[in-house]
Amino acid sequence: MMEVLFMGTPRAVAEQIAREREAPIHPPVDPPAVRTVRRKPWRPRPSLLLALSLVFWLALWSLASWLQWVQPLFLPSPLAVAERFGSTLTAGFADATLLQHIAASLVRVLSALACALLVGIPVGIGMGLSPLIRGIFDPVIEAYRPIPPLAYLPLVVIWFGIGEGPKILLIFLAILPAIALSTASGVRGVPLERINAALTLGANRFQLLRDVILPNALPDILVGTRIGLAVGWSTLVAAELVAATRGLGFMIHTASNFLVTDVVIVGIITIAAIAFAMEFVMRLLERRLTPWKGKL
Amino acid sequence: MVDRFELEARSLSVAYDGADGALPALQSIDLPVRAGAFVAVLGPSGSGKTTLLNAFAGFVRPTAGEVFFRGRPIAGPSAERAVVFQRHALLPWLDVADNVAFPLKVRGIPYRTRRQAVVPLLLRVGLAEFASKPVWTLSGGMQQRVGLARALAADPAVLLLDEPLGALDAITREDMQRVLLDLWATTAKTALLITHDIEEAVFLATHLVVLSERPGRIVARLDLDFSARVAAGEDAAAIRADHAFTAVKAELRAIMHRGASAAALGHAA
Repeated sequence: MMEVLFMGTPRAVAEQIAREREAPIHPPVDPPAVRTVRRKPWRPRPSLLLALSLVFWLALWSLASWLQWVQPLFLPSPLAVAERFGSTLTAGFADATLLQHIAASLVRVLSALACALLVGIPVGIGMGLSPLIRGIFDPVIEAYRPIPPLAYLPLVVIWFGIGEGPKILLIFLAILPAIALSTASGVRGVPLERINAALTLGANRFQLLRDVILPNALPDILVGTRIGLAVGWSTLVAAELVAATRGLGFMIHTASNFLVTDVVIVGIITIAAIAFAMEFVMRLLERRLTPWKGKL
Repeated sequence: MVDRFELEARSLSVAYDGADGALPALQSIDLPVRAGAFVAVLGPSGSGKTTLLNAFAGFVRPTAGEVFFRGRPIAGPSAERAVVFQRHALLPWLDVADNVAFPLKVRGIPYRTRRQAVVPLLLRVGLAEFASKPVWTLSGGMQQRVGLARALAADPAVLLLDEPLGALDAITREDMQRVLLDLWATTAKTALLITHDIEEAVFLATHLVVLSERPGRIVARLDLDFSARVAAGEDAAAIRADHAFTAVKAELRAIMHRGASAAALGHAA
């Protein structure tokens, strides 16, 4: 049939050719299947890598103490630290067991966090809604935020003394910027459509704040809380330097004064483990409370 | 008695503050809308058609001229004029029923009562079985059904539709046009639809206006009866294929192209 395809007036032939061009004679051929048998480069699972890394550093530590590369006074063996961990749990150190030290520290950090949430969220909302309030608070927060808490600790002691309050205040000051600034950015980040929709559905200003703006800022508030908690926890040792009688920071400080290096290491590991646990819990909380984050 | 329109724009001009002076978005719009009408505003991107809707919603103030709702100047947003947006307007932390019941919540209706109250609405838009699903797990078309049902839950006099189907695929879009049409026909509400889709405008509108490119002026007005015919029971697919339907589409396409080239040359269309 190919021979008689082009028949008729020149115009008809031209149209036929144009049609033929658009509809190819040969059906499209699937591209050759991509070969998937190529060997994948070996990639270890993250959990395996973590375990290997821990074993390696623990082995190096054991070797260093066993071969006495460093004096046991400065670097006790892992076994000695583990034994000390047990004894601080049961017999305690510096007039308190490890759990009592942990509890004292947790109470300080969590009370500071509660205060920071109580102050930081309203301040953040204000900063997010009003340029005037932002103008008042933003310079102060941005100015003191980069200063290490250890630097203004003496001032806090001069002004407020050495009781429990100033310790919580120091941690509070470290946590506050993270919460206030993230709340402000969450409030500013509400899509305009969401606000306008709520207004045309009859919401008043208070309902707009409670039912639209605040829930919308919740993911940012939670991120701010997680970051703030980490900062606050790392401020702990500084806060417990002055006239504490309990707490992980106090325990480390006292142990270092008496060169009880294994207690120092027990304290450091405990602080690290609790920081890790807090991060984990906060991330879990974020997934539970705001599964819709970034979804709509 | 003076004829009172449901919505009316009278010599409406809106300009935004730009970096170098005022940017005119709308110029001398006269648009009366009768109760029960379905008005489609068709225009290219940047023609100020969303600005027109925002003026009726009360989100923006006229720079000159006036906008009225039932003869009273529009001063701000109100539940009498509910807006359905293209996206981002639902509350993702609430499930479908709570989103739809939001207008009842802000009126102080208790939780159980309002969740019961929205069941008929959910049935009408085909979402009854999704009542307890988080809205962010729904498809785009389903989310727009939630948006529609929520606007209707406020029982407004006027539905302002800001390209509500703009982000949907073609098939979902046609389905949703039917949903929209049925809701309009059975609730007897006044609707104002902003769109750049000629077919959608022709299919849904009883009155259609075409805006020019920025600053938007009305360059054409048409009265149509396709939506009324569909509402009266004629087959939607047959109407879409109707010669009269395609002829109107072609005419509008020509008008919009002319408007675009006139604007490019800096002339009044």
